[in-house]
Amino acid sequence: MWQTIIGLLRPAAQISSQQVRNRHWDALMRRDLKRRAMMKEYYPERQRINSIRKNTILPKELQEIADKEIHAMPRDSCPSRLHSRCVVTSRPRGLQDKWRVSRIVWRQLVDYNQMSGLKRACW
Amino acid sequence: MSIRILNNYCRLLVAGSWRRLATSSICQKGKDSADNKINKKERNEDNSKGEIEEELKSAVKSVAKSISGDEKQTERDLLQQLLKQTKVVSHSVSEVKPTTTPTSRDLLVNMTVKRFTEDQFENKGKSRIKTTRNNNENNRSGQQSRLVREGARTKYELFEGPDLGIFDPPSKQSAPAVPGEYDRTKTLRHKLEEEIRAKSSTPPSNAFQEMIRWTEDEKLWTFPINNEAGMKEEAKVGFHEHVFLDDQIADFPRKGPIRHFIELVVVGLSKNPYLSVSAKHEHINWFRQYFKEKEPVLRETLGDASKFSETAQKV
Repeated sequence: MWQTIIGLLRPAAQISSQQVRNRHWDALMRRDLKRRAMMKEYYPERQRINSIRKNTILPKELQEIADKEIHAMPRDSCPSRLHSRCVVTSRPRGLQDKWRVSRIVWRQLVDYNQMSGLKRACW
Repeated sequence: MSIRILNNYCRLLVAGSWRRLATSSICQKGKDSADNKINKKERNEDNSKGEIEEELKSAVKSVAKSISGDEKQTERDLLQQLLKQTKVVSHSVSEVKPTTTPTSRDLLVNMTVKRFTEDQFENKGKSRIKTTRNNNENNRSGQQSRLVREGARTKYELFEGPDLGIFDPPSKQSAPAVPGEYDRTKTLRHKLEEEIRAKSSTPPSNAFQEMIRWTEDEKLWTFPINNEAGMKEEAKVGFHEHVFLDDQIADFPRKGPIRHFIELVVVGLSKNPYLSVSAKHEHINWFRQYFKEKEPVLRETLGDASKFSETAQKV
């Protein structure tokens, strides 16, 4: 009964009994994911325009126009703006690329035998 | 010697064509009488002409009388059989010509075995009408037995005649790689199991079933390992569509830097195993659209080498 009464209150006044877990650990992670989505959308066109820009065959007038076109594209569509982060903790440094996690998380998982094919080295 | 041959052939005749009568008691009499009469015939010599002896004819008549059914028909059948047999016999007999007291070896040396012709073999088999217990010769009426005999005489062509439309023609069905193999996914059992599985979400009862389900869901690999597992749509596309893309750039200007550029693009695409054919076409189309848009700029620098042909000219 108390649960129903509490449910009628404003969301801010409600007491959540469970820990809040969203997909993004922090805003930096969210921004990086946003950049990735935009890059995925614009990458084919970006690559084609770059292929016109980066060659010695086509006339320079055309290449100048292509330069301007790519400059007009949204900045976040550029692949160089991506920065890999740990999937669990959003740590920007010390990443294991293959597992997309930071070294600390990686170590934790391997120690508890949750990584397939990994164990402590001993020889 | 000739008598023995004749005896053997006649025995074959009796045994082969009248085997069905062996069990019935009534027909036994007929057989015995026929046997006796044929034995008498064997004692006579000279059957080189190929005609049937009078005694044989009478024997045939008595046999026909003892068998129930159309007498005339049975007579005719038996005489026909005998004629064919005796022809064969007479040929082989005529080759034997004893001068003095011939030894068996001399006779054997001169003799050749005559092969039955195809017609004779056919007729030999056909006279043997298969009957069930109830449809025995005795139980059948005169009309029935006549019909049976008529049916037995007609030639049945297995692979001719109108199509009944029960089965798909062999060209439609996919031929199996190994003869005798069949597609297990098309069997009734498999379909039934699929139906059950779709309706009831019971968990697998053992690890084997679990692995089977995972394999069918394409979570586990199938053996032998197929590198192109899961690529069903790509398997339908031939390699020529991936590699030979020159037709796609037929309307590009024939000479100049644009042509050079797009040819390099096409070379790169032909080596690309990761893109689908439609993606490659889309790539080329984007460039076509881009260069057409920029034509005023290109015309100043390149002139004719910027023009796209209206109709695609195949090189």
